Amino acid sequence: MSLRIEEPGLFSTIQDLGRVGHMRIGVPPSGALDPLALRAANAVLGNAADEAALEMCRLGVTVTVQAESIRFALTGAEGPATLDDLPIAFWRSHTARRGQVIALGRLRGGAAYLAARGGFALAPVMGSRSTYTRAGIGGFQGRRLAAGDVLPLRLHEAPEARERTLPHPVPADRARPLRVILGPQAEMFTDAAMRTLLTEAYEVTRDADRIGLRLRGAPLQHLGRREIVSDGNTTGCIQVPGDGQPIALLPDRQSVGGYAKIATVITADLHRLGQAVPGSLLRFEAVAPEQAEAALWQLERAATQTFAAIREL
Amino acid sequence: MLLRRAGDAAIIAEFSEALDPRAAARARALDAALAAAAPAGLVETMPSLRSLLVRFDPLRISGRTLSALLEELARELPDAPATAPRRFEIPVCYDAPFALDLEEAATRLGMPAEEVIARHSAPIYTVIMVGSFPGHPYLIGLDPKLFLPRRVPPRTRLPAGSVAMAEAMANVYPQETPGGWNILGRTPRALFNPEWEQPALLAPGDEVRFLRISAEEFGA
Repeated sequence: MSLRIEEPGLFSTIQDLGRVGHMRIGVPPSGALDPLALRAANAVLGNAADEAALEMCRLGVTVTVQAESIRFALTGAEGPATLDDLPIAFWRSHTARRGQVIALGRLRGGAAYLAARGGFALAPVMGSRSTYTRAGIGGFQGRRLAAGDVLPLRLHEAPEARERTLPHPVPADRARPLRVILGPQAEMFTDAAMRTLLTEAYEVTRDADRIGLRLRGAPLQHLGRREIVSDGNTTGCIQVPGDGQPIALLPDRQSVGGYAKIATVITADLHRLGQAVPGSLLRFEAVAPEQAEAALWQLERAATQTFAAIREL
Repeated sequence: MLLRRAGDAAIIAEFSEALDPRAAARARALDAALAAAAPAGLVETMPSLRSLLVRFDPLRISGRTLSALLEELARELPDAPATAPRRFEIPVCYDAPFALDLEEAATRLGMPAEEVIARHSAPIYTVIMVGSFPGHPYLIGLDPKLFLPRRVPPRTRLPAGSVAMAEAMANVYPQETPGGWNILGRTPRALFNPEWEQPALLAPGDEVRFLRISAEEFGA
């Protein structure tokens, strides 16, 4: 009962909603770049919300089914997807039988998910199945997937059931600038730098992975000191090294860092930050903490309503 | 104490802008007080060199409520921890194959290598932070006569177990990583294992002494 990896894509790993509680010993949360898409996949399959799935970055995998059958779903950044060469849709369940091949191509975004009903038979490490490749923790042998890997499944057969579909991805204004709360070290930057951050577009460079996105655009000037005595990082924080080019941190970031952080992307928009790819243009919009909390409530309501509207085909 | 918003789901309680043992101790005391208060919606905390990072779930507790609680707890922090710190002895072999930078450090400091070793293995250090990578301790208590800048450029690969120092701190690299600190020796003691019930050997607030061992003892 497994999926055999034929083509591993660019950077494919097992991820769930993250490894919480270990930042104090230097272990970052990891977890899905687009947690909303992962939750959608689990919802349509009837899995627990935090079940682990296969995350593909920018380029999809090709896998062969080595089980009687599996029920699976694709969510996140869309791209060409086939089951034995016939096109299949994202955001719904499908059933594949032994020997069938699921293949994805280039994705129109940062991360897509291939989730299986019942999940993968992998043991959690430090409370999570997420892969933290830098330290070889979790997921499948602590590393990204390679051709020939055999990913064990929990179910040897998909239960008899109608296929199900989401009505649509969870609604979120994906074209709007990424909302940020200024700081934690906003006072270390010039007023001009703050205006620039909130008006100019920043392009994601090729230096982009699960640790962070190096951005290129109008330089952001520090007022005086450029570094701080290290303190805690958070996912979504935008740190600015001495050259003034910002770096947005993602779930595999280090636990601490010594660059001043000008702003932090709000929780409700992290799923959008996680979908950025080289060439993406990012814009930022400042909000107050209360607005960020309201945005998160709104997103959660939208997710609840979307998952409640899952229907049989 | 200065409270900084680090996004909508974290607050940094900062006790100093500089590296400061008292600030780190206050951060640990606030950490203990917050753990005892255990507010709903608290996700995790991380004491570090001069601050405490507090992650929370904004759907379960508002930043404003949490800030008020942190202010209240900070007013009544004890000066000393309620329990005595844990004490660890970390064996270190300062011999040639492991002591990558010992001779160079001794030259730059203007003292014999033996004196560097003696001064490095004399103090009782305090773990001020575990971070950057899994299980990696930052230690304060280094003899000021050993203060040296980092190496420029940093090494791209340091062997796991490397025992090092830079500026005012000492450390041990649990895994093979890049690093710019001055390597004085190596420990055979593992500092991190995700399979352990407590995956990191050391926690903030622990005390550490380095115990000099021979190459034979290292191999044993």
